[in-house]
Amino acid sequence: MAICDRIVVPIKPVPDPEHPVRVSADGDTLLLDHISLVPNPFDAIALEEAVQLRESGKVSEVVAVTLYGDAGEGILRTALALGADRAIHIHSDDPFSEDALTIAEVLATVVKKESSALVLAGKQGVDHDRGAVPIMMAVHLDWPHITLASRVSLHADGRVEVVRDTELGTETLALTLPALITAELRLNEPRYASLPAIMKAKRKPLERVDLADMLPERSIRPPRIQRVAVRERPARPVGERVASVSELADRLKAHGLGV
Amino acid sequence: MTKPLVCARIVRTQNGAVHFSPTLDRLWKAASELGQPELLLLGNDLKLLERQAEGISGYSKVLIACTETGQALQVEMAAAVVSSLVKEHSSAEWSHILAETDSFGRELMAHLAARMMTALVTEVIAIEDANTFIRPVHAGVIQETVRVSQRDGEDELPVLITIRPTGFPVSDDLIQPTAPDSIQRLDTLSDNERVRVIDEHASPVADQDLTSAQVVVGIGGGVGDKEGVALIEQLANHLGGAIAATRTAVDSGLVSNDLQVGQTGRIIAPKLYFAIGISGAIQHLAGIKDAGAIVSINSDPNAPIHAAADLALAADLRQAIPELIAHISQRSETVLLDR
Repeated sequence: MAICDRIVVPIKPVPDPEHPVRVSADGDTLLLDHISLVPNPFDAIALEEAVQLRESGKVSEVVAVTLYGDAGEGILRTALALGADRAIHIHSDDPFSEDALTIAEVLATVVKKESSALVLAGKQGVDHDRGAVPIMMAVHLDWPHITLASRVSLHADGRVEVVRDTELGTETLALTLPALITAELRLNEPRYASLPAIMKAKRKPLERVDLADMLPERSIRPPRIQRVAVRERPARPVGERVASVSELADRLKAHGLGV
Repeated sequence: MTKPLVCARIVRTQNGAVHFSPTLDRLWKAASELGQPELLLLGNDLKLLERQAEGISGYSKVLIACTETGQALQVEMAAAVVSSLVKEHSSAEWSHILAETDSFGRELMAHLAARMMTALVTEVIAIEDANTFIRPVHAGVIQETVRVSQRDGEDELPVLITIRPTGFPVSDDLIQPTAPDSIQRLDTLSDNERVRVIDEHASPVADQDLTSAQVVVGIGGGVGDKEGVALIEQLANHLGGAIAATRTAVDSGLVSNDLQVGQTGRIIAPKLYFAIGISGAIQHLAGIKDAGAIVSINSDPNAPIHAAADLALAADLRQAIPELIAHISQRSETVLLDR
């Protein structure tokens, strides 16, 4: 008997973090088109945890959700190949113009519609490094939230124990479902999608919903935060190689960093 | 005149260790670019908070909010007190609410943003004006400038900001040692029954000031074993520096995870960073890019860290570190003789 019917895992498509992002020659926009999209690595960890909970029989179903343009579908197919049972693609042509508050509101609406009692999310997107959307979702749902989980144990009575690492050390927190938990790097090592899993993923249900249909016009607020400029971080000057420790000490001294 | 409110926590962990934000002066520096900063101290030990408040410089007013004795401070409790403060005062009382970009500040500000439906800008490294901020994205490779605008026909709500302390260095003489004009104790924080602390292992180095250390020695996976770590601790002692680590070093159990620096972990900006046995993954570099100078010591001449370093030495750390320590002690002896 499952403890929880359904886990919702929001998946953010992000440019592959292994490829450096550059600014266009006119300095106005980020050149992202040549970089393939991948599921946000922290979200993949959250998904892996959800899939393991389902495999252990504690959860019946894992639903992956993405708010994105057409490319969101490919990301959700990947999520399905990684073990999600079902996927919901909230289609929006301009996902970046939505601020974190709106994204959180949309995702919270999906969680409510799915009558899910547990959301597992990545602790932050590796592109914007905001780390705000999951917490905002929890507030919209009026659920308790725990961030930075490095271990999650779901007990039969609906109690969840979470080990988290912070600047203060390691602590174990407990709460009762419904709850939202964000995943830290150490939670698990996500699996790779096997070829049979990729084939099977093509037949798993993927529902597409238009953002405009999902949220009534009036509840979408105009963005409050706008990106007005981007620039590449000034590169560090090229360093020099030294051949020995005494040369290193001399160079440090020459730099005014005598140690 | 805009008036920012800085939120910071000072807590006593179960083992008695005190953890307070070592970056209060940097938060003050950031906030003072926006107006005359006021401070909200949150914690779980009233005496400790009051003592800290009296010794704080630069803030004209300090508010204190504490939990019931011994009860852990939770984000939801803190969010409740801040949002009721904003509601109580006219919403125009504070133009901005700031916190550090640490696990607590991040969660608190995101929670508040949703609760108050107001704008949140995280990881701010520079402030252009009251509404324009610069923050790193894509692991620090890109810096974006964002502008916040109040929506028409709505009350002015405070803008929420988390500060990356490395962006706001302070010199010692910058903050005049003036005690606050007023210290005000708020009602006891009401219990949040939803999340319970059931176990706590406070890290022994919780108060180590890694974020504001001038010299930091970083431990990578290449350091290998506890013996290597001991060698680096020795070096750090000679340098008067703090110790940091990469994820690889933390995951292999060499050091505790509160020392982790990088995209996951802390962002540091010491004057001098020694990367020892560190390969140079982009995630770790994201945490040290703002260092004044980077010195790499790694036996692999092709390790990416050497390309990111100002001074690169391809050498076995087991030989190089003792040699470096010898150089340092030799020099300090010379200094003593000169006197």
